[in-house]
Amino acid sequence: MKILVIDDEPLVRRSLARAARTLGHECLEAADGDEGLRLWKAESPEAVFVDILMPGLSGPEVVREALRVYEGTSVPKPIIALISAFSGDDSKDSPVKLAAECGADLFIGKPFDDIFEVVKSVVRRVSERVVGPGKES
Amino acid sequence: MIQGSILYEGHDSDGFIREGAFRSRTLLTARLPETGSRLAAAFVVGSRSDLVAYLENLRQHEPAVDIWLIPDDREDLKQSLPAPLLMQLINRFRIRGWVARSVSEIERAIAIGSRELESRERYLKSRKELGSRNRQLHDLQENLEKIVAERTSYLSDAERELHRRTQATRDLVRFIKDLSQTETIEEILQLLGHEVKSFHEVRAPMLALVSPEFGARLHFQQSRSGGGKSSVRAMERGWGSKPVSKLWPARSVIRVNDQEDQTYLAQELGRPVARTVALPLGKDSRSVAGPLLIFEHSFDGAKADRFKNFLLPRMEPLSTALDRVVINREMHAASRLWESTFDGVADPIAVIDLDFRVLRMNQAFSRYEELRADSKSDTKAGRCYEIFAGRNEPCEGCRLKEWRPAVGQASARAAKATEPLDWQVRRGHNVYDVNGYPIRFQDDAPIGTFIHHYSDVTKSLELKGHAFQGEKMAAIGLMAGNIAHELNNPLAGLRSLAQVLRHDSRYPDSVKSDLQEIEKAAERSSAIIRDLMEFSSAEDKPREVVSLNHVTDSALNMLKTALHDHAVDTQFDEDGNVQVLIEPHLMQHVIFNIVNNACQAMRESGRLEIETKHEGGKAVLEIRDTGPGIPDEILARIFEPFFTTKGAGQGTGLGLSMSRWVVESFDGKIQAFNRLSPKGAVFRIELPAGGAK
Repeated sequence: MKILVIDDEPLVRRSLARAARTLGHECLEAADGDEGLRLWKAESPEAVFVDILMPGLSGPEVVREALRVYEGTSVPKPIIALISAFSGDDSKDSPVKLAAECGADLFIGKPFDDIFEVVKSVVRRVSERVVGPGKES
Repeated sequence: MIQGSILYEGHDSDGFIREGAFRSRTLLTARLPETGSRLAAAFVVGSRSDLVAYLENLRQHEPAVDIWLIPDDREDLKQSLPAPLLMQLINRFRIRGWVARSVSEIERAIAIGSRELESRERYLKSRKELGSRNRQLHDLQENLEKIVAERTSYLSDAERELHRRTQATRDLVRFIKDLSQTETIEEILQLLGHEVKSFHEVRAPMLALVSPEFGARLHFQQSRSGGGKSSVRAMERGWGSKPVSKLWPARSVIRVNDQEDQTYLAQELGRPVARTVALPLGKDSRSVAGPLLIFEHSFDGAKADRFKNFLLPRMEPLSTALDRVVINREMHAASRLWESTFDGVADPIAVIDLDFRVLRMNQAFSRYEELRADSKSDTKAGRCYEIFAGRNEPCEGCRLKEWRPAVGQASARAAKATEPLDWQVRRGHNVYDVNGYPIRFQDDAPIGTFIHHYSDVTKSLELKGHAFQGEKMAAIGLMAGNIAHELNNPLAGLRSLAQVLRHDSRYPDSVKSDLQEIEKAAERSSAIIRDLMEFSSAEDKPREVVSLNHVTDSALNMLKTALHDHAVDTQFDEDGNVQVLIEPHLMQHVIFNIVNNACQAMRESGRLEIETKHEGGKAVLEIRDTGPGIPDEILARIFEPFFTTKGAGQGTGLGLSMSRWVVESFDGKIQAFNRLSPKGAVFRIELPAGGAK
């Protein structure tokens, strides 16, 4: 499975990439939103981890921009996970809400308790969808 | 000269009697009426046969004349009559005796008789004179007595009149004196009612009056019956007053039985009215409706005049008294208005002289005096600081204190300094804003008085302080949030990378164990950041039921540096009974505060005991240090707002007051006390256990 990680924090990017690769997936890394958007459009990943706060394009901006590519096509959208260290879940612009608004599938707060589980959960969502009706069409 | 006649009875043949008027017997009885002369002596011949009858006859006619017996020529004097008969005759007819038949003898007897006659005549004359004198004297006496009686009656009349006038004057003086003591219209009426009591035909007085206070009113005294038939004290006097639609047009003369007055009064009273006497009172009786005094009466004409005369001298004093009472009343009302305004102000206000003596105080201020009087009334205070705060010297911060010397030194400056002063003083736990307004009673007079207005600003200061603290916390929260985010990112990466690497089979176990340590350290850091974010949350969060242990632990996490030099001994009640309904981050502040204070108090390395326990339905947190303890004199004040022992800039002094406020908002209680062994301070927080109310 092709997974794209967009995060300006190298350690986060690298740990996610390592975990994904360890689990046998292909992983692409982008250090900011612009590069992430470029890779996303070029590579059509099946799962995307995208940080909210980044220099340049923010996570939700990247997601909105990327999702426009899929409009009118039958290409399946990837599973998109917004990740952020800013996890105050009761604040006004909560990341969960933000995720729902921009079209991301889920939000994962940093730090991760178990990095492997984070990757696996996203992969599980992808395979569930692939197995589902979407794959037939 | 012999005045009178001589009667000789007998023979005059020898002319023995040569002169004089010897008369016949007939002449004797006629008593010489033609001459008017008196009989000087009578000579009777003793030998007469009818001697006794003759003498009887003679004596009958001449009761006073001297009768002499005279002998016949022929007979011897002694022999003519026997001696016993002679003595009998002499005694019976008062005969003077024998006289010899000689001229000299007879003349002698006549002389004697004449003398006696003369003297008798004189006697009679003088008696007559005396009688007339006596009569005159009597008349005089009578006259005198009459005069004396007249004079006496006049004098007693005058005395009575004098007495009456004195009494009237005395009555008037007493009335004026009594009047001067009256304080109300009712008292004046009562007094007047009593004054006119002696006039039975007059009823209790009424007074028609216009006063700004009650409008047009009729004040009156009335009889009040004691009730029941046998009213022993039936005539007790009562008074009343009733508003009237209008007062009669003023006329400045006393009116007796004035038809117009009676009509007016009857209309106002709504009943028939007897005849009236109406007296205008008041200095300006020409004003539209000056006070008017009215009596109902049943006098006839003369008595009414007497009553009028009785009242006349009383009019002026009555006017004066009435004016005084009315003016007093108005002044009283004005002063009452002022006083009730003064008292109505909820803030304490006192009028104070430059020696801090309280001249006047309003009710709010006097409550402090009452409080003092309750506690210790030995010193009769009078100074503002004594009454207000129970101090022995002017309050700290009092600006009157610094303003005062200026009075003596530069009176010009002082006289001009009419700007209000303001400052803050403390009274017990409370902080007051004081506004001092200088008062000058006369233009250009130096200021001798201040009005101090105290307003309790404790609450607002507290709120301001809390708001300030809140803002500070909000700023810290925002910053902490940013820092946490910044830290969280690399931490997340660090931890995750260590995790990933640990699962890489290519690395030896020793490396994996190191990686695990890195992962754990990162995890701990994350926890601290999470606590910090929770702690610094600026938002009001709902209360939740949490474990006091957990909250305490989180707070302690942020105090690692402060606690670095001290041993920490935590004893947590693990029964789970220390669940409390609180706002966790606020509670953390409280704990943070107390522990931080304790660490600062323990200058050298000390031991901090932190214990949670469950006591009688309360969840208890005790924080005990081994510092020097809290000095007794400030122990009671440490929870006051702005109380601080730290220097300027080191603390706002809000920490502990905030703590008390927070704990009390959770229906809890916070206390501080000292322990002796080991020496140190103890803070004890009690909260309702289980979050149950």
